[in-house]
Amino acid sequence: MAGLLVNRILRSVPLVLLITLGVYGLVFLIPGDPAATLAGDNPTPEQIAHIRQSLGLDRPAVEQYLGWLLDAVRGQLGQSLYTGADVTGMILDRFGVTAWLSVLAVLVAVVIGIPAGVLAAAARGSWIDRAITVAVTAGIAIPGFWLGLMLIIVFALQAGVFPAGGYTPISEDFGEWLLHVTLPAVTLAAAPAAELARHTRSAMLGVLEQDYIRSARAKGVAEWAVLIRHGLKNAAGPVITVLSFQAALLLGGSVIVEQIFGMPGLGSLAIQAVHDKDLPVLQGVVLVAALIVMIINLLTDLAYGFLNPKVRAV
Amino acid sequence: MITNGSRVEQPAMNETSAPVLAVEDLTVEVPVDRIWRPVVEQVSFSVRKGETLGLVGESGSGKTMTSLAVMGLLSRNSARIAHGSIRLTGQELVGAGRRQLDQLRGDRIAMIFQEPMTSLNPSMKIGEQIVEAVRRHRPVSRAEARRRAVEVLDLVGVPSAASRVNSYPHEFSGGMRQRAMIAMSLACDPDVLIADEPTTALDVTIQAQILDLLRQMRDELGLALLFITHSMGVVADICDRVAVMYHGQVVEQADADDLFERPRHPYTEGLLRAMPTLVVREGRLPLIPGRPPQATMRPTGCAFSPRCPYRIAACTEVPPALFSTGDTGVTRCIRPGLPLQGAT
Repeated sequence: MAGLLVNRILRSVPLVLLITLGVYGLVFLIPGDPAATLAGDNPTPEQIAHIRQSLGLDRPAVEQYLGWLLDAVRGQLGQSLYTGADVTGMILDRFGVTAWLSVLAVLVAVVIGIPAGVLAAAARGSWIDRAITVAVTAGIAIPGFWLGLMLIIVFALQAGVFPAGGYTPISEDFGEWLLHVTLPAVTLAAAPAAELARHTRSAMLGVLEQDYIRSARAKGVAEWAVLIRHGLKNAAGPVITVLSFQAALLLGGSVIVEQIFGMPGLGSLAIQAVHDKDLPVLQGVVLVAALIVMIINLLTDLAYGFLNPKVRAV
Repeated sequence: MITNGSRVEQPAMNETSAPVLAVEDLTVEVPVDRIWRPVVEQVSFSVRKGETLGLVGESGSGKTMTSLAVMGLLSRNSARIAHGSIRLTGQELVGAGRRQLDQLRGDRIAMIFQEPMTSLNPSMKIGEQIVEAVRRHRPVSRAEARRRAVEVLDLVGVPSAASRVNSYPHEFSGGMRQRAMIAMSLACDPDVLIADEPTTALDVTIQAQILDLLRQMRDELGLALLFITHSMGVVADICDRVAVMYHGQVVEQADADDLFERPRHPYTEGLLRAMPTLVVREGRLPLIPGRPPQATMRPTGCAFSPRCPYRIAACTEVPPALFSTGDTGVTRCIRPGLPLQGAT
């Protein structure tokens, strides 16, 4: 297992470098000159040149990239063009909100989606199976922003159980935190839960036809143990794949959900940065998001190894 | 030490009279266009301690359906036991609940399957799969169950069993996997072992080894062995008694020696004549002409009559009953006195 871990980490180094190159390339892809924008209305060419020089934008692209990369490795992602605030600090301030929201959403999706899929497969063709299939279709079809607004209307505005928006850090007040993240997490979890249920069901249906399931029943193993120990463990491969894919997509979904619920997370920071053409901030957020996706993929590979003894030998 | 508690308390059975497994008048149905139709019909047989009963027939004759019915492994939506009785040392299994079946399966009655490559869970160590069976039926510690796993793997001839318990199925060859399956089935010292074509998927040399092993286990552990096969050669090798199945029915049942010497049903004769022997003969093996009817179709009269060389008019009119032939034999043929040819 340790060998697998080192192997996968070493393999991801070139990918990380490629990602940083892409992230830094944003500077040159986004139209407009940040120096000209910063200089305000009717600047003189000298003012623009001065700003460009002070930001280091006049140096060769390769030199700029390497300088940025070295800083990034040391955890320095530069300063915001507008507020001058440290980008690393800005991201760290916001990171917790998005991280908690995503983790909670993944948790909700797993706790609902996987058992629903197992249940549907075990009761194939029954009314339970059909009901779950309808729910899955709804979960996939309903857009997150609409679901979020509906949840706000029903549970915040009418029932008044949850706050309609805002955020309280978990370190301040756990109860308040939970109240604030519940609706956003449910909104974010709906689609991944549905996808998980769908794929768990189909993977389970395949596995339950296998000979070793019959062997397990022939041993007198209880049905729940047949489903979980012999069924789900062997169906887990495709389920993990879908889970990792959905977890990565969740980062994108959180941008919208954070807007709807007014949560100060990375998503709203990214939107603000795009509005302001605040490139260092945008680069920082994109880099962090890319790294998170990479880590998710790394964990996925490790999970494959854990579940499938044949992968471990590689 | 792991022993079957109930067995110790019971007085020694009269081996000639008390069958361990008794199947009577078993009929299994499957749905065809939403109507239940029989694929196994009025099947009766019994197996005694230390005895091997061969259940022989071609694909689709209902032999696997019969064995799955005995194990309670018919899937609920695709097959059902319409009537009949299956008794394991006197205990009725037809109509037993899942919980009751789970207590017996793997403990008193066990089964091994045709495909050793796919019958073991690929993501579980061999030892774990045996431990699971032991701990399901015996109140023993994990360590003790592991010792038992090593013990049975050793018993079935898996070399260096103490280390191979930690292997995964993909690290075993086909023959070794079938040995592991046998070890798993014997872990709780069952009374009855059902072997569903256990050698069909294996190389010829490995087949012989597995047959030897099963024979040895039967004799050492006093198993009642229900052996399902399509091969008369395998029957000759291991079986004491034979039940020949055709189209969901037992068409002939007899002691193996009698059956080979003097078959009483034309279908049995056909099977024996189609058996390859080591004696080189001219030409091709004789075939039984035609094909069996579809499993769910009910012909009037004898199901074999369309292919039978000894057919008379009466054969196609009423389904034949079972005729007794000698002490223990039966044949489902209205002409039990035919001078049929045995194996040469």
